[in-house]
Amino acid sequence: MKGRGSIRQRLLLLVAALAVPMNVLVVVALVQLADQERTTHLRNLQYTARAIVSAIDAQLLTHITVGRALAASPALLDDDLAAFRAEAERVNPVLMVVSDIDGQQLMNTRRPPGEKLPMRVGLVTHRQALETGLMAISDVFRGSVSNAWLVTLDFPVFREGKAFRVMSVIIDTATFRALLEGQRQPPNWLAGIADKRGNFIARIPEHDANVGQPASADWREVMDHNGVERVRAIDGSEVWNANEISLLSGWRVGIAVKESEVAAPIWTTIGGAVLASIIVSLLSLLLALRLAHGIAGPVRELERKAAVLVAGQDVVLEPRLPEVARVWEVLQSAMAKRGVAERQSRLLVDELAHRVKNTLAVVQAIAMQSLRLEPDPRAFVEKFSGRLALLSRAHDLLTGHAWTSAALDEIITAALAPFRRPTGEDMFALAGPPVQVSATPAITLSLMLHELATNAAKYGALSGLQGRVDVTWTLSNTPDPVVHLIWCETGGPPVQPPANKGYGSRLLSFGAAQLGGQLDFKWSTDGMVCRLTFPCPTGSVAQERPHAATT
Amino acid sequence: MHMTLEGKRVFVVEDDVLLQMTLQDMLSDFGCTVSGFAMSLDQALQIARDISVDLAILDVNLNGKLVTPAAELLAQRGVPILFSTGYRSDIVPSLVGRPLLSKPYTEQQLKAAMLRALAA
Repeated sequence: MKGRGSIRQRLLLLVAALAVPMNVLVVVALVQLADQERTTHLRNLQYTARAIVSAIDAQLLTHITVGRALAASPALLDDDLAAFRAEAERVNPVLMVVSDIDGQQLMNTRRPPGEKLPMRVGLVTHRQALETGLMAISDVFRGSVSNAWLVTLDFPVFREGKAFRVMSVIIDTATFRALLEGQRQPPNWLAGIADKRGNFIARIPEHDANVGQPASADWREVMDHNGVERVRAIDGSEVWNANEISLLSGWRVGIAVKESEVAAPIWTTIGGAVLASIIVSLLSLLLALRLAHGIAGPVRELERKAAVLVAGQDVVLEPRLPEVARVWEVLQSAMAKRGVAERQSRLLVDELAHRVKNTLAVVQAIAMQSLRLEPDPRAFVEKFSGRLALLSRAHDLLTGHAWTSAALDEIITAALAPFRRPTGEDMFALAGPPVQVSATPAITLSLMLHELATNAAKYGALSGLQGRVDVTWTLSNTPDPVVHLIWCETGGPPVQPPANKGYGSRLLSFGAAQLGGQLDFKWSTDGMVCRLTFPCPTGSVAQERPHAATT
Repeated sequence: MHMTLEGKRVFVVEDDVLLQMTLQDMLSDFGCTVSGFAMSLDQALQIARDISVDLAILDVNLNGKLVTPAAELLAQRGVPILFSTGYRSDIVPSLVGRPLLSKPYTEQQLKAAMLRALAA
């Protein structure tokens, strides 16, 4: 395959050139989409955290409202704990504790009245409430009575301006676990509520194992501000964690999903899109192959059949493409032209072979005729060579006119050339209009004139120094072109008709026959006069010349 | 079968003067009689019409014209024909398979070809 790639290869490259940028575009769009999806996902995480904080705050507010009302109860101020207990149990099903300022429990709704009660555990909020006079919300702790994980809302109770009692609403952390579990949750999520120290109040999953325990170090590090961070969970897994702080309680809510959970749907989307993109690309490649076949096929067919056509065999092509049809037309016409040229050249070669053979036959005839006249080898060679030279000059004249005809004056000049004297003195006088003589008669005339001159040199005007020969001719058209040629010798010795018919006479009479003309001789004391009349169909050709003489 | 050319009457058609002369000389040497000769197609057609001969020797190309019309005329009259030509025999379709003498030729070749043509 010449060049740099076949049509098929180039078409495939074309498809690739279109498909690759399209696929890159799709991938870029997908990555952006995935990024957006991840952002949305993480924002939703933050909303969920905020919603849970609101739910916790709402629940705490309920307890605070009830707690405030009870803390102001006259029964409590009158230290009538039995009456207060009845009041509290009527209003609030949760655990209520009343303790003195030192933390000694005086009443516990989970214990029968009169039972000896223990000291409170962890008096931080207890003291804080008494010092500030404000309700305080505790961190998570393990209750001394129930042994459960609890938080407490401590309300200070003052009598006559003096700290008197602390009333506590104690909430089991299971409440918050239920709250978390009641949320509409993303699958495989991690949700945690941590107190101000960073210990779990509630956590799902594995609430029981983690409640009261510190949250992961990563989360604790970032739990002082809202927002989504990438952290390591307590089990060590990488998670995206949305942190939200409750302004009411100072607790933190963390909602986390594993990195893979965020990425999975994105990768599913991308995977699907890439798969679709590959399928579409493959389909378009298949289509392109089909189309390529529609182009490459006809071109290959053209290539194959052109070779057959150029080899000179008949072949039929039904072009399936207009371009191929045009190329095929051009090829066919070129081949037709070549065929014509080849036939012409073959004809020319055949004609040349014919002429060569004919000429060889003539040469043979010259040899045989010369040998009949001159058995002596030296004389034979001279005669033979002279006639060959004559033939050669006649051929030169004809070759000058594509072997069609020669001018009569040139034929005469060429035939008489060897008889001119070396001194340059001209004893020949030629006069006549331009006449064209066709090939065979031209050769005949050459032979005849040569024979006449030979005779003149031997016996006639050219045998002496004073003699001369006038060769004149006219052309008449009555009605066909006829040439009248006169060979007139003067200044030579007196002549007589030859005694017997030799070669010269025979040649002249055969020549006249060949020309289809008439020949007659007159012998006198002045010299010989020969008249030759012959039809010359091509003679009039000369009259079309600008300076042609009239007849 | 032995045949002789002695006394055979021959019609010679040849447009070249020297070849015509030489061919006639050869025929005389064989003891043949040249009953007629032509040096152009016109002459050949004229003579072929009523010449009475044993054999016609025809040059195929007469000054650019094919001798075929004269050959047909002679053939119709039952005259045996020997063609002579410088062409290869396959150039002129009508000559294929006919007695043919290729130029140039020797006396022996001429004699053999004439005997073949007479026997055909």
